Amino acid sequence: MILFSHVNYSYQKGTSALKDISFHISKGEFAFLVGASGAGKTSILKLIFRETVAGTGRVAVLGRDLTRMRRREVPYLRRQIGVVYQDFRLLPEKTVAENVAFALEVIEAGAKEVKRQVPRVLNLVGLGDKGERYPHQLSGGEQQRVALARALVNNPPLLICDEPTGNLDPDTSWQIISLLNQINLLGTTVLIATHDKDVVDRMNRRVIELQVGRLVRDDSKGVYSHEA
Amino acid sequence: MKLKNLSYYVKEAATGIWRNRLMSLASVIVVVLTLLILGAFTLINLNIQAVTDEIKGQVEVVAYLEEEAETYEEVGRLREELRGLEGVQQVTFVSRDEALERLRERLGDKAGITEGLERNPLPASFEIRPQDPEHTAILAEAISQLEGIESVDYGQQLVEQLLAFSRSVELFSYTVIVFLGVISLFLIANTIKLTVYSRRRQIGIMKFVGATDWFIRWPFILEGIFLGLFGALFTYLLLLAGYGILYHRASAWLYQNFLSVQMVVPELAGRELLKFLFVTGAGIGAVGSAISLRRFLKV
Repeated sequence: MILFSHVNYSYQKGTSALKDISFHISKGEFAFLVGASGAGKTSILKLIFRETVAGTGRVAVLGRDLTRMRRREVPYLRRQIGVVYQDFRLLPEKTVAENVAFALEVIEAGAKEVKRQVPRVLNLVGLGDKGERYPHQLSGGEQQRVALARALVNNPPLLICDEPTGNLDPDTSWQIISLLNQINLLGTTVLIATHDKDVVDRMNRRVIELQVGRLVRDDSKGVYSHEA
Repeated sequence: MKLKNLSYYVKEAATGIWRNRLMSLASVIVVVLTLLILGAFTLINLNIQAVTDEIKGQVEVVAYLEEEAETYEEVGRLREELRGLEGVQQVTFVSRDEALERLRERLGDKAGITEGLERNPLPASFEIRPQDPEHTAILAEAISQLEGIESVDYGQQLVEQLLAFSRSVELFSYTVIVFLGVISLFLIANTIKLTVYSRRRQIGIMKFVGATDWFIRWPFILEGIFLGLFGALFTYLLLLAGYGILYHRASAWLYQNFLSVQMVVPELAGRELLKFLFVTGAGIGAVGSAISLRRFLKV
C-alpha cells in the first residue's frame, strides 16, 4: 500500500528533512507515525500525498511509483487517498452535507452518486442527523467527523490523518480514534501522524517513530515512546 | 471543458462575482471605461473610414490637353491610350465648351462675367477615375508622360493628406486601444486574484480531494469572461444610445455644412460595435483571469 525505500528529502538545499527512510505499510494496516514536531512526520505524509517529491530513493503508493508520476496523474492518485487534517478544513458557508458532497462534486461524480454516498458516510461517522447544520454549529469533534466523512465519501483504500486529534480534548480524541479504528476494520488502510501519547499507548498498534528526520523505531505493537 | 460540468462552473463563477460584488462591480466599471474608449474609437474609425472611402471614390485625375491635340483623331487616340493604362477605371472627355458650361453653372448668378470673353480660355480635358485611389500619384505621373497631354491635376494634396490622416488616426487609435487593453487586463487579473484569495480554502480542499487542475481553473476563467461580457453589454448600451443622439443632432448638419459627408447610420454602427465589444470584452476577461491564475493559483 505504502512503500518507502531509502528516501531522502530536503526542503531546500542543505536543510535535510528526511534521511534514508525505509518502511512498508500493507493493505489493511493501522499505523501511527510518531515523533516530536519537526521530526519529519508531515514530510512523510506530503510524500505519500505527492505534495512533494523525494530527492532520492523510491516512494510507491497504491502500486504507483510517485517519483516518476506525471503532474496530471496526481489528482487521480489523490482520489484514492482520504486525508484528514488537524484544522478540519471545512467550508464555513456550506452545510455539513454540502461539505461532504463537495468532495464528490469536484471529482466530477454524478448527482446520483452524491445522493447515495453522502448519507452513507454521514451515518458512518455518526452525523446522520446533522447534515443540514453548518460547521460553526458543531463541536470540534463533530467537525472532525465531517472532515472524516468527506475523506471517506469516495471510498478510498487509504486514509491518512495529520494530527487528527490535535485540536480536540482527550475524550473526543478517543472517540475519533475509535472511529478510525472502526473504519480500519471495514478494510481501509489507516496511517495517523500524531504526537498524542495517550491515544497511541491505548491503541497499542503499529508505531513508526521518527527523530530529526530518521526512522528510529518500527514496532508492530508499540507505545508512543520507550523512555516515557 | 466537459459539458456536464458547465453548470457547476457557471454556478461557481456567479457565486464568485456575487460574493465579491463590490470588486466585481469595480472591475466591470473599469472594463466599461476601457471599452467605452475603445468603442468610441471604433465609431470614429468607422466614420473616418466611411468618409475616406467616399472621398477616395471621388478622387480623379484631370489631364489637360495641348491645343494641337484637340482634333477628333487625337482625342480618340488619347482616349484609347488612357483606357489602356493600368489601374484606370473610367475615362471621361470634357470638351472646351463643356468646361465653360460647367464654369457658368458653378458661378450661378455671376455667370455674366464669362460673357465678355472673346474666346473660350479653358482647355479640353480628360477626367480619369483610378481603380485604387492610393495609386493616384503613380497613375497621374504616367498620364503626364503621354503625348498630347499638357498637364495633369489630381488634387494631389487633398488626396495625400486625407490618406495620411486616416492612416495616422488608425495608428493612434490602435496604440490607445493596446494601451487601454493592457490596463483592463491588469484590472481583471487583479479582481480574479482577489477571488482566488478569498477562495484559497476551497481551492486547497479541491486539490486534496483530487480535483483536476482545469476543474479548479474553469470557474475563475468563466468569472473573468462574465465580467468582461457585463462590461461589454453596458458599454454597448451606452455607446448605442450616445451615438444615436449624436447621429440625430449632427448628421444632417454635417451633410449640409461640411463636405458632402454622411455619418454611418446607427443600425450599422451598432452591428459593428456589438461584435467588436463582446469579442473584446470576453477576450479581456479570459486573458485577464488566465494571467491571474498563472501567477496566483498554484495548482
